[in-house]
Amino acid sequence: MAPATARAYELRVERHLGSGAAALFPEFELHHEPDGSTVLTGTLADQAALHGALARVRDLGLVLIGVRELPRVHGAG
Amino acid sequence: MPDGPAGAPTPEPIPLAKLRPPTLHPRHVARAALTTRLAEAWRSPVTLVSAPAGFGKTSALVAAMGADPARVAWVALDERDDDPQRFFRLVGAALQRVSGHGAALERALATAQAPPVPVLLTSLLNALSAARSEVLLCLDDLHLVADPQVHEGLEFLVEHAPEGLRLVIATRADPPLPLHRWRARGQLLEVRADELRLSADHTAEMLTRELGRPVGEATAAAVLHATEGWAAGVRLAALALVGTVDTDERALVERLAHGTGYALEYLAEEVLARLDGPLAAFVLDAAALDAFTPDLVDAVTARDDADARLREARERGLFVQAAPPPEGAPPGAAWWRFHRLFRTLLRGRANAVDAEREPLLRRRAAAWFEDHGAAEVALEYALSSGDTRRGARLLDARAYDLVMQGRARYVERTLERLPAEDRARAQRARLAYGWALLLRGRYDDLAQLTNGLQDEVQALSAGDRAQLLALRAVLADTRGRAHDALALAHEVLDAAPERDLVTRATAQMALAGARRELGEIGPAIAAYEGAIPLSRAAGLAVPEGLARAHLGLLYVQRGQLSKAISVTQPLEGAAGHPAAAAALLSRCAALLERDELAAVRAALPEATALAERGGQPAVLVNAQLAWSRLRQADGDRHRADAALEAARTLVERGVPTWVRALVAARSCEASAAAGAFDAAEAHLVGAEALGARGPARAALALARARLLLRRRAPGDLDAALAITSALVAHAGAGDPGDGVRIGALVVQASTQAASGDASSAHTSLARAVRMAEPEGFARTFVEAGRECAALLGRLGHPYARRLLAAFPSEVRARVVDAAPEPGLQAATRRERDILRALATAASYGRIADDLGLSVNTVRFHVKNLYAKLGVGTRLEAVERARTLGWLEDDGA
Repeated sequence: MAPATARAYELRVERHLGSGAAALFPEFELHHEPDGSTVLTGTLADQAALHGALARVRDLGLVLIGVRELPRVHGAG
Repeated sequence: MPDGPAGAPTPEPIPLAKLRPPTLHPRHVARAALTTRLAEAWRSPVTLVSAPAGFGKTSALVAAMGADPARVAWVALDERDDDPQRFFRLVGAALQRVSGHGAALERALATAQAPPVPVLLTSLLNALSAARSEVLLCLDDLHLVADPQVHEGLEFLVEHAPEGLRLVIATRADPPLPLHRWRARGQLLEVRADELRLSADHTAEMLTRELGRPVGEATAAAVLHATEGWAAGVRLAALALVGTVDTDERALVERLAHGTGYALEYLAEEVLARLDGPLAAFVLDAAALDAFTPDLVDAVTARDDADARLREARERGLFVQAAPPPEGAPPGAAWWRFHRLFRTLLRGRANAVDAEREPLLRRRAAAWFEDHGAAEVALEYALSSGDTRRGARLLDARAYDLVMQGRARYVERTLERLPAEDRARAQRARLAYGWALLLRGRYDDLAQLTNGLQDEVQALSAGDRAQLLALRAVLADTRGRAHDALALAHEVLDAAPERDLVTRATAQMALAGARRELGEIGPAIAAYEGAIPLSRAAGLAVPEGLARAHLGLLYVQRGQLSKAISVTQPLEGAAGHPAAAAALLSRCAALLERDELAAVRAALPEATALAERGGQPAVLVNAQLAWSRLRQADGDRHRADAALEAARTLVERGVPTWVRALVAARSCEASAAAGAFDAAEAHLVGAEALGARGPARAALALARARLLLRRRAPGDLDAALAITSALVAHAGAGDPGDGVRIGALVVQASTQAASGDASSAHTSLARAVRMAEPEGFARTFVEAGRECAALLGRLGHPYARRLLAAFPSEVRARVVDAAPEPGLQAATRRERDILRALATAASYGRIADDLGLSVNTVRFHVKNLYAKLGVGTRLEAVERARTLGWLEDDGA
């Protein structure tokens, strides 16, 4: 069960990520967008987990173009 | 497992490989404009090279600095350097290598009781400034460090750096430093991703060099498009192009030019796809390791071809770099690693294939490192691969040494990383962390920790139990539970192994503190005296400093000022350490008694600043008490009261009873002196209820006597006499000590004089003066004011005359007039005029002019004056006249 502080986030990066890069973000689901970007959605335990994910984005040299919190869905997560 | 530690362990060696700038890649592409721009770093206080991974930050710096490597202090940071003590140890070691300064910083931080970083940096910066060293301090990969204390230290460094020290930062993310401010002041040179991007020409040149053959324009353009001049991407593209036939190259170029994929990932996969099975397996497995030798790779993969595969990988230029050997790893072997970015890509690929493989390999690596004696590396591998059971066990074994080597922060963080169940098991690690809390004076946290451990005491070894008891004894002492502290300390001293000096020294301090709290001064002094060699043998500066501080104050109360001053001598190596503050303040207390105000004035600001950094309430209170007495001596009652007010506020933060009593006594005296008798009474009543013993109780009694003497309500003088007589007569176990007794005799004399008993007053004061002379007590007489001065004037004792000299001039003037020194002829009015003129350093001619006399007449008066005063020089005459109050304007 996710802790009470858990939130669903969506990260958006330039370019389509393949399975290798996806494996570095196991807590996210990846979708390729038609505009050539990739959207990563996932439920993270807290802010520290979000920053950890952002550091991975940085360390891969990916261009981050968006971060947002997704509305909570009752009964999910 | 040893049952207990024997003292401070030797410091961890500095990993020198981290201090060597990397060498340039043999196929490095020189970029003149970038090199010129970065060479500006020699003229800019701060240089920031900020760009994502693989942009060639390090290479660009090495290329620019390479011209003058002897002045470059390089630190290659890694995750473990996210700890202020460790970080600045590396900085110290790096600066030492190129400037000859920094070793002191490095050594000081390798202990559990390091002074705060800014204190150490101040000394370092002074040394660098004095030596006019020209140094470029380069911090590579600063983004790996998040600890705010590191950034605070760096900011301090930049703000106070001498001209010759320049800071260079290479990072993937802008650090939380005041970049904006530095930018506005023109102190910041910035090189960012856009400037690091390879141009079309450089892209083509890099491809050509990597491939060893010219590349087509279309190929270069496609690579540039896909990588946007990202150096790591271009090199990876070259690697993907090696050995391609024409059609392959066209397909690759097509995909690079038009694909939407993440180019680096795609290129890495192209590269991997070209490797044969065994080499690909080696590369993917080795990427699970932070650094590796062929032996290690073979051990974790259960294969035996790592040596050959490594050679192959290096020949193919698969981003293999020399790595610093992991700390504690067996010496001799060469260590390797993959370039960070390439390694990340490899790990992604490996995890996509089999997510269980990396944790498996890392768990095996943990076992390998443990077998090879690299416990801390093993610990990291164990924790990062989920083997927390092994992690807890390794931490338990290492924690004590880590704490004593100044790595308490690491122990704390590692404990936090353990799941609750494993943390519960790591009792020795928690116990070790307790020592760190003790040395930092974090008593509340320590109490919580020891309470937790106390519940599991059955699981502890005998030696660990003794450690726990020692920590609890100190806690009991700081909370004023003297009987508990005494019992616990005795238990420790009976049970702790002889060689566990840290535990024994700690118990000894608790024992001494409890004795003091109980008013058993003789045994307290003996216990503190015993704690000094013990602490020293254990390598602990903090308890040694505290023991010296306590002894200093106790010697003062006993009337032994010389001993107090010598025991609180500033310790070599402890300068700038908060532990030195307490001893310095005790020294000030002794110097104040001697009325050596200049020495106090010189020492007090530094002692107070150190006390503030240390943050111990009892030490801070002593600082305020000393300020209050100094301000009072200066005649600045307003600021003297403000210092007392500060002391009273600090008391509320929790101090031993005897400290509380001293503050109340001083507050009472100050209020009484101002005529605020109700307030004075209120200060006293609260403190008397605390049940202080020994010198603290005597101080309160003396304060009450002083209050009574000033108030003089009916019966007050009799009561004051009763109190002081009791204090003077009291001997044996509750003996207040001669320091207190002198004060009591002074009050007694004034009381007797006020009651009209001049002969008893004379006797009491004569006794006080005789007791005061050998050790030089003076301040207590001066603080007794006008009445005491008058009595001193009548004594005719040589030391009484010296004491009189310490009184304010307006008090002194009246006294001397009332009771001239036997055999001393009074000066004439004219002679006094001349004396005052002599004190101004004017020439005889000038004096003659000013007074309307001839020069010969001035000479005549001066000669007579020298004879009257029994002096031979002008300087002596002025001094002597000042003592006698002859320099005051007698026009009134």
